[in-house]
Amino acid sequence: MQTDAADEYRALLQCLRRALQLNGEPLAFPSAGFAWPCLIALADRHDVIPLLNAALRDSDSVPAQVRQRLESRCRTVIAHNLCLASELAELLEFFERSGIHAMPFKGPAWTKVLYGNLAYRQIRDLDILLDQSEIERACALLSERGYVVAKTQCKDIELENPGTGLHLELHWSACEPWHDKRVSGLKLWNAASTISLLNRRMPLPSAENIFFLLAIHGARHRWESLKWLCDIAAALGALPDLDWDVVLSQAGKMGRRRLVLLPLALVNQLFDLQLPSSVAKAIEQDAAVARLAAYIQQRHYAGPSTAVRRLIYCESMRIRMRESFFERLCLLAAFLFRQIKPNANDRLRPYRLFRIYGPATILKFARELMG
Amino acid sequence: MNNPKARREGLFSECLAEETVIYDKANHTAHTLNQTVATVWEWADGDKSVNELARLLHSQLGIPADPGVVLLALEQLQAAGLLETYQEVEKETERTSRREVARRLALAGVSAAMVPLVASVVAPTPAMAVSMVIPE
Repeated sequence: MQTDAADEYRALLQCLRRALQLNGEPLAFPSAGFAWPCLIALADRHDVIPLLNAALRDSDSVPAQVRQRLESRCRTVIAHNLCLASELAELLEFFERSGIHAMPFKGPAWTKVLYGNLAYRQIRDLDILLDQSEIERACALLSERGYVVAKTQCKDIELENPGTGLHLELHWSACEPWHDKRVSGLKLWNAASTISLLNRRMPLPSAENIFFLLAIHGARHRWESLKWLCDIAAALGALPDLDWDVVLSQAGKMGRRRLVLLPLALVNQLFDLQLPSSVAKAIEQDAAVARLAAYIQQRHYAGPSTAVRRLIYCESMRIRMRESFFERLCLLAAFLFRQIKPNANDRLRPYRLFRIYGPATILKFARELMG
Repeated sequence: MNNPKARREGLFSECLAEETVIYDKANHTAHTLNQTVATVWEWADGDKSVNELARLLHSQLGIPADPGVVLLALEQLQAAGLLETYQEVEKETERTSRREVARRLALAGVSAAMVPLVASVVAPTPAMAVSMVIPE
């Protein structure tokens, strides 16, 4: 029996539910013809190899070669995460000595908070939040440690250490102003608690702000990776003091309830995770949330799309995540305007769209954009 | 012989199922310790003798209180640079061998997975930690 992409996606979800301890039922895979390499590739694409390995640990149906490769990979992931964690601890101490208030964002510290163990998340680089006024000084100090600036963006600076190969991002905003001006202006990283990592206390934002920052980050990437949704599911279990009324009320004041409801609807649909009644009720009240969640799921196992379709998808997701019709209209207008700007060679221009796809397709895209 | 003392400085550890992964920042290397070696590494504080460590292994993991098992674990820790006192261990381990320890544990009905083992993990790089290729 051959499996298709949807089968592998369902199998992966089953594994993730088990790894996140949301389901204790034994894993069931088709005995013959199950495409293990495809499952692994899908897990790899979603950066959830450590969780897949945790789920398959006790399963007898996993071929020895697959198990061996998974375990070997997970050892490398842990070693890399420990390497990042030790560097993070040193950097925070370094900043503290220099009077710079810095806070870890995602990475090893949040992995420890959400999963309780550095083994369960693939961490690519280090992210640190600090005030924009301290960025220049922080970069100067980091150059003493061998870091060089690789890229400056409108919300962060990327640095790399050629000696160790480590990447570091210094953030002063949760997202780019063009992505969401209201959210980009928020300062969500006032220290509310601490966590001990490698014998060092590290500051953390409040549970509500951790969730909100995770929601913003996932939304920026259109929830394309299951890793970010696993973080949300893990946060629901790991942050028992999280006050949902505060989260919904803060998001509502900014007109961003959909931003926080979408990942919750997704983890409910994907992992059968029970949501607090206030959250479940809020999701019911906004029918677009369930539609968007279903749409995102389809993309999780879809094959690669053309550059044009990807551009349309990215913009449509950004627009559809807004609750206000007026905001959606403004974003659509801004998107179209960007396409006709001179020298925007890398952009897709409407006239080219018409030539290639014709008016019917354009109308379909517009409908998709507006949700 | 001095009591064995594990190195702690510059080492960071995390558990993966029944293994412990130790990252050595100074050398940018990582080692995977099975449960037996991890327990010895954890308890080797310079105060406990080899016999005491053997009794600890017995109480914690159900392994026979065999000093040979501890000595083999210490030998492997020494080779990985995870011990502070190692000269003395080297002399003691001449008396034992991995095969002999494995045979004794097997006779006692202990799983082969409990035979002391330290595996070195290739020094990880960011690229290695985020990409995986599994052949068809």
